[in-house]
Amino acid sequence: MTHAIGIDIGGTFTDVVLIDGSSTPHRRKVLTTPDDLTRACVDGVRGVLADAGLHGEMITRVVHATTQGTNALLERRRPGVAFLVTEGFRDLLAICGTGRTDLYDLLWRSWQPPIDPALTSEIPERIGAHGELVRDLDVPAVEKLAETLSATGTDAVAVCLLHAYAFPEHEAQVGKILRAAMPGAYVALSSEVWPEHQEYQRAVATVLSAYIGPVMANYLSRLESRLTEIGIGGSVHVMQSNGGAMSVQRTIERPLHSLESGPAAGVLAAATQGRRAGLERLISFDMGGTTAKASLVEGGQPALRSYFRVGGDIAGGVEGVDLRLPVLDLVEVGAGGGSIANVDEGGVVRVGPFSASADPGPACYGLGGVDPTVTDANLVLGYLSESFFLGGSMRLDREQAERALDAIAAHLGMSVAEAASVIHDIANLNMGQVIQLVTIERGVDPRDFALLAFGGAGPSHAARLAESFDISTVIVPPLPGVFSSWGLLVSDVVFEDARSVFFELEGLAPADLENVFEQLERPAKDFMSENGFDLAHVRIERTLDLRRRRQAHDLNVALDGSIVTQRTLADVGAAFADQYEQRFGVRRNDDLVIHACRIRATGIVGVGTLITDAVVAPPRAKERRAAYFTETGGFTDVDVFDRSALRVGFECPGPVVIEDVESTTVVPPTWRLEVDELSNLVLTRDK
Amino acid sequence: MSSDSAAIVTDPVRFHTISNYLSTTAREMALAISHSAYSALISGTRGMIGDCDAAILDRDGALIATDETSVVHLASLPCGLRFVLEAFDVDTVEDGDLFVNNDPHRGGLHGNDVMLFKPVFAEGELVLWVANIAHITDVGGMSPGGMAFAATTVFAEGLVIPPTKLASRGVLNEAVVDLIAANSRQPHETRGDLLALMAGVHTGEQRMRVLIDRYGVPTLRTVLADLRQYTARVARNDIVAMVDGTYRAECWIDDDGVVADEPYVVRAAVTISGDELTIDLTGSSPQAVGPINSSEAQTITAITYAVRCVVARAAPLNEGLWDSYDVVLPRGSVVYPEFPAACNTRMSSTTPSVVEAVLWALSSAKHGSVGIAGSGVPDVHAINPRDSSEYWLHFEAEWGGSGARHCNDGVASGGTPMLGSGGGMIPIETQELLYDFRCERYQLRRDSGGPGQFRGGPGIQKDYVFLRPCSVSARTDRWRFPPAGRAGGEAGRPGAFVLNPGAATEAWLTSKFADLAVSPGDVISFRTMGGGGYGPAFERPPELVLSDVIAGTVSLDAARADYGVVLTDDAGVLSIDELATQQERSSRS
Repeated sequence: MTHAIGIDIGGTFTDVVLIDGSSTPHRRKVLTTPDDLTRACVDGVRGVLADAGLHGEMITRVVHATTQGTNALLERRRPGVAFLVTEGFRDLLAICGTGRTDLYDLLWRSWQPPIDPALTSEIPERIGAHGELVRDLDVPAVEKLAETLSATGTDAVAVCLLHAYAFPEHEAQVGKILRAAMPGAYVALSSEVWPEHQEYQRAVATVLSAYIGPVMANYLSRLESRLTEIGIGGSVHVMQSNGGAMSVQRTIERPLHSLESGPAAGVLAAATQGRRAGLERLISFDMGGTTAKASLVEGGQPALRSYFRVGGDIAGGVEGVDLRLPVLDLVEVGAGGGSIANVDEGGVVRVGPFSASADPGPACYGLGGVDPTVTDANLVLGYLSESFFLGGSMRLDREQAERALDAIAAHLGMSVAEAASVIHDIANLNMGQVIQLVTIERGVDPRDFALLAFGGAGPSHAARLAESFDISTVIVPPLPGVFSSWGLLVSDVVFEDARSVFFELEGLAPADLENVFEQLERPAKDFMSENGFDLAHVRIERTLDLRRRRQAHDLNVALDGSIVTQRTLADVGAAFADQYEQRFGVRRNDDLVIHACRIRATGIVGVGTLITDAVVAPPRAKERRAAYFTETGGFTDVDVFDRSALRVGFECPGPVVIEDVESTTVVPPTWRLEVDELSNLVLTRDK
Repeated sequence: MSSDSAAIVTDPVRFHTISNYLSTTAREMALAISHSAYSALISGTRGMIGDCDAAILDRDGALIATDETSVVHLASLPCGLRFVLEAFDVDTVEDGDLFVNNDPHRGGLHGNDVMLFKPVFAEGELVLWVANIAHITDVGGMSPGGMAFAATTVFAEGLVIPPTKLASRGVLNEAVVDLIAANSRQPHETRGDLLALMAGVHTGEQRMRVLIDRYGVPTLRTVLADLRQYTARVARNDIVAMVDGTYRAECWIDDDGVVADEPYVVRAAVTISGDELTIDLTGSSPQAVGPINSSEAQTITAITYAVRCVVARAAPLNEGLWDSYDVVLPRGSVVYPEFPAACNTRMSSTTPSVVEAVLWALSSAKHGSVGIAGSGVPDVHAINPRDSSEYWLHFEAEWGGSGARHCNDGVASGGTPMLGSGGGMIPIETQELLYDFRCERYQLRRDSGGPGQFRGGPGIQKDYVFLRPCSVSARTDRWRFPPAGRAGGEAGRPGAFVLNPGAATEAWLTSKFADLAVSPGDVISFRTMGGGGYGPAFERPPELVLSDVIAGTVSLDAARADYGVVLTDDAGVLSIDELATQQERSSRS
């Protein structure tokens, strides 16, 4: 039997979940320990082992999501790294290279690379765009430089030479010299961490790898040894931004790939649960106290995008920087249960951008908050229970909520309940933006998708949100609170790599392309074998980035897995034309250029089902409560069910409210509720 | 909350729903163009949308919503539509019609910025317009890429397309497309970019039809009126908060590139009186012979940008912003030229000067709570081969340093507030793959940022060596009148274009030159200007001067000469000589 543990470190809590494949998951939520993140991990792991009555050696797999790298980039407490670059280009990263998010902000500041100007040096060498040697590498100069750097005691060096993505010879030589002279240092070569063209992007990736590499190396090896100390025997994997898991060693070698590991887990969980429920097209929607996140799942697979922005602080006027790395396409907005409603200077009611967060929290918490929040509105509307919040561990104060809403109600000339309904709707509009961004802005029609909602506040808003996009199915999975951590445990091991090329499709010899793919796949296969995978069970996918000659945007086209032939190349041209037409409505036949070859090797891992305890008793509402719906003209009494008392196959029409320990699902009028075979709450709407 | 902020908005939920929908639609239109365009300039790089914009306008041409990813076109679509409606009676416009216009004297910016307008009908009635604009790389004229720096009339700049019906009741007039393409050096790309513009208005029309279907025309009109009043109300609140009075500022331009050594000036007078704001550019120079003239739409765009930096920044941009202030432009001037003035180089000269003068006057009205010194203007260059039937055009802008702000240093190579997004637009590795030149040097210019308590952003130096015979054009400004320092700060260092620096054939070129023939082995060094400094340089903390020297932004000599900071070099380790610095600063102040 498989026993697996997922560890998800968040800003406030570290979630640890243990799945044994046969019963409800065991779960511990412990306060994150910022001074040493491994401490909370180990405490949580000890806890779930005790709850399950298991020993460490019975655990076959640990999958980890960490914010360690992201924190290091945000806090910027480490000294800058040494930066070595082709002669003539020492200021490559200082020349403002990122676009501005707010063009009207006169006080904006560009992204500042974490390099030490005193340790920045130019390397006498130059290779041309087509591999021609323009200037020899000055080896003695590099040796002297390595000696100087070694004497400074710096622990991280980034090397980025022009055109090294395709012609890495000089970089490899520089790397060899540095690694010999500085045995303890982390040396990042651009041709190793991100072998793609565009010198600015590659230099950014190299410098950031060198910056967080030593932190990740230190942290992950400490975590591994601490887990070994408590007897954990299985493999330790780290979740990557692309939704795959990876070994600790390769995570250390390519540390940027795991920056978005936490959010990726939730999307992966949604994709997996959706697939099992027979839903291949989903919008994953995760809403908590302060943020809402959405992403797209198509064909049962989370949508990916090719870049994301890190290290910025828009509120503080500091731009971040784009990293061109595959990442689950996840969009986030600062809207949650704690978002504060207010009347802006133009006299319009808004929700956010400020949040009451956990302290003092919404007015109804009774902890001193006076501003009206979305949670207050939901309480007044009867969606939340005064007595069963967080499973009854906290009482909500309805009077405080009403008092907080008074001013807005007066401004609108409405009753408090009507004002609460307006706030609920505007909060939905804010969250609708993330859905808009992952669907319509990506050229996808949201009506073809189901909405899978989780997180503390997601299930209360999901149905209304779905209505505004004409989405007719909403899924609320079991245990929406642990759902994200469960995603860690359904992850496969994924090895991705890419090589920039410049091939004209017309007249290309199939063998030339095949050759590039074979070079890419060899290390991937070696890796899978070394990590205990039977190659027969490793799936390898090949894709190409293509564009029209002199056009600026690539499209990614999949190849079939077999050896490249003349036929393959013809298919690629046709597939490009189809995709292009689908996306832009124009069909044109032009010369195509291949810009990159990409592979993705997936080692399939057995996964645990998300199981809840079986219920046999017929469901009985635990209470009736007045809840506000515009369709019923205001308050109407509805049944409130305890979710743990609902058995598979249960069905009823809305309006009805379902209470979980950590979240509440609202089924409005015109919606129907059904509990499916996987214990999902399935809400459907008659069109 | 201000006193007059009663709930004028009829339905707050509908207000937000429609407001979001409109801004998303404008954004989608721009994305549709950007993704399907041929030219790298339109499609952009680094995940950004390029040189294109989209707008939704009402039946009469008032702005409803616009995409603001590239703000250099803000006012063009409303101005352009005004002239379409002058040329065509609105009652004769039919469903499926499509209009094109690029005429700088009829609402356009310059010939390469081509605008399309499409009416959206509901039940036989014209309800609103969707429109977009994109920079098409070549529309003919005397020099490739519209870089007609010697032009003295609009005729030399490229094909003039007056408001013209491009499609009638859904049938495209192919002859017009053929005519435009035939006048381009890149007919294939030009056709592709026109198709991209059509994809943009098509997307907009579809989206707006859905919106009209959902709410009906009367409800939609109510909410649109709400939105317009909302933005105007927020703007007036911001105007009231400024100090009453008239504030003046000016910004000088080197020359027009045709008549040597004759400078131009943009003068701005900003008057605040209660909740009224007037921006008057009377006193600006008469229109130029050369192509630095900023068309009416371009000047209104620059003023809109400057105003929006300090007024109603967070409100949706619609006609309501323009309802809240008045503009006076002198006809026949460099900021409102008359036909047939040439306009193609305004973005390096006149337009950023309008932004700078208006912003500086506005910041005085805000008592310096937002201050920005003069910024470097873009240096735009175009390179094409001379020896081949294959035609390519490398078109790029590099940026001068941004001016220092009242609270922080200027951004290195950050450009002017309206224009700069920083950095070369095309990666050097991509350029070298596609074109026959090599970049030998790309670095910040030491000591180019204007000294000040807050230092101006440095400009850059980019050196190209040519590998085949090419033709080069380039234009910039702010050499004779470098980016001004403010509040006691000093000006930035001017830029330069140098042919074969250090060689016997070394030549210093003018700030605006066209079609220079270069041969293999020739080098051109493009050097952009630094931004102006803010506040007295002697008030800059010596530690910051030290780190500038370590970073290479300021030289050891300039640390002493400009900042009065004396540094000592102990075996490669620099430190501040506190005593000498104190003496230096007190003896010279």
